[in-house]
Amino acid sequence: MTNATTAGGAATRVCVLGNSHVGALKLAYDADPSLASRMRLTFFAARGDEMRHLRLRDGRIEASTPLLEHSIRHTSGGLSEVDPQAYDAFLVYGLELRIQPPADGFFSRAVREQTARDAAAKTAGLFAVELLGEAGAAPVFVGLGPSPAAGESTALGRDPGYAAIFEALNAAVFAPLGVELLGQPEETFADGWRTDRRFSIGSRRLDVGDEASNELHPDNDSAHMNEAFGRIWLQAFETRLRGLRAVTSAAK
Amino acid sequence: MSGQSAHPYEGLPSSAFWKTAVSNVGMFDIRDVWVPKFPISPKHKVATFGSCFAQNIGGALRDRGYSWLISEEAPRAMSRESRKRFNYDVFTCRTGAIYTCTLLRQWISWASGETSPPDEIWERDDRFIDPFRPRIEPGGFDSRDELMQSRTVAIEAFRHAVEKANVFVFTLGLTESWWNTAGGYEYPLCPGTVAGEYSAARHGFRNQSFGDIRQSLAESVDRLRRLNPKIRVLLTVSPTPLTATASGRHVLAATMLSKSVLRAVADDVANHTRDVDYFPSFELVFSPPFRATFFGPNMRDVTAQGVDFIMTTFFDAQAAAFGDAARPGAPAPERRPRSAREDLACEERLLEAFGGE
Repeated sequence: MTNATTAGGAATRVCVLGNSHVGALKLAYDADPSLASRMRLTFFAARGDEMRHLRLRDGRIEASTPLLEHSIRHTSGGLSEVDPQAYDAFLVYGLELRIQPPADGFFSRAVREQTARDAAAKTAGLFAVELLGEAGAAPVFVGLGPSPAAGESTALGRDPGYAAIFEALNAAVFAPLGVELLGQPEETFADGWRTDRRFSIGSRRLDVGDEASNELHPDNDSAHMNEAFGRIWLQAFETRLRGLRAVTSAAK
Repeated sequence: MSGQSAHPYEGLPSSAFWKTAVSNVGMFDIRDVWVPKFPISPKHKVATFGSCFAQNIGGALRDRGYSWLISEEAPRAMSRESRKRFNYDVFTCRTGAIYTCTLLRQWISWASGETSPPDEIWERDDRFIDPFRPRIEPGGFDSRDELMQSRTVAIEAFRHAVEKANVFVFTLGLTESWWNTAGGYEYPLCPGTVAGEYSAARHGFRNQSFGDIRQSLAESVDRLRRLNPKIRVLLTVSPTPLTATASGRHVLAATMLSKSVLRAVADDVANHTRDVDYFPSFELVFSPPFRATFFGPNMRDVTAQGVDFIMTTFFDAQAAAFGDAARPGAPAPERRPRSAREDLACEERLLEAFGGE
């Protein structure tokens, strides 16, 4: 099992598995060399649900389709497989995992948690988490994909109900697996459950080395976020990693 | 024949005679067991409540493209298996099984605001169980507050269902019932069996009579109509035998008594109340021509084939009476032509009536 290390202040090596939503993080990471001095992110990503074609073989995670192999080789800068030993931490980002506003009406805690389990069970994200678990990868973080952008944002801020759903999802699905769930940073919210529209404007398609790479998403795409969003998210993640490094260092 | 006067049995259709309608035809060729009083079409909102057997009806309606009314929705992302486990999409809302007509009257009374549900709550292993819906959540509720909120939601959903439904299907299940004698309210299950604590001082058993049940059913229909004057009611009797009886009789005898009383009540209320009909699901499973074919090995559970046969009979009867609902405006389907053998049997029966050898 791989653990985060402090290793004399060396950057934490993080393996990132994700879908098109990871594009915002990658854009922000590639644009800010200072981030790389603190955390070295290697992205293994593909658009759509292509990441469902990952598999475990001989202790390494690899692609089982040519399309996926092409994508992850491009996003990782040349690697075609994940060697769990080569990383200090793992991040699963997006991959159909996100929080939806609650349905109208009252539901018991047991119903909410069962619903969270049922929703997560179908996702590529949980598939990736379980694959990492089989590979002995740790620690694993799960970053929820962004909430869709608001139309014209009227009020900044996150609905207090978000925390309850986050807790239900964490309790029902991720805590039992020993992974840490990371929510969307509060300052990116508007209208309670949506992402502030300014973080969606100018979003670009994940660069997987094809013709559509880095194209601007259409104006009516409210699902994908831009580099500014990615920067805020990575700053929060880096803070969390710093806390992990401090704990690991204290333990030594 | 000279000297013999006409009598009421002459001219009756073949369906009036056991020989031509039952013993001389195959089990699956028995026809016209039900001639519905009113149409139930895919556009009608149908609410379903009652004993465990009633669970089969809603899903069958939905599978055939009918509008099964659900007034208490599960969260969208909840899987089908989880919904069943948490009792969503089992009845129209999460009342749990309503086994008796007195329980039905009790639910209607709560929904209309005429009475309030009691405060009684059962506890088991630090979990909270609703005495009126003891299995509604597999592990019970976290707290009394959570239980009460859930119960309030169900009562409101029940009211909403009654107000919105075009047809209210109720399956009568039991005559045997358990009561809180001081409070005068009924439990769906005897306290102490699933949870709670049985006390002979506080709890009473009643094997309700024809008169009791007839009155509570008539009152229930009347109160349903106060909430929804246009609602139509379709009654059925569950063919599922009793799991157990507290009557002191053998369970077989107790089952027959129970089903007989319920069948008689349903018939009497349907015959004397406008817009109330009875569908013979009980007969289709329980009566001799079907030879217990639709019971599973335990001679109690109705098989999937049995449910399918019942619902097919239901839809075929509707189509025969009112036309094929799947094709609005289409003419009633042609009846299956009688075989030569059937015609012969009919003539033979006529010969018997005239004393011919």
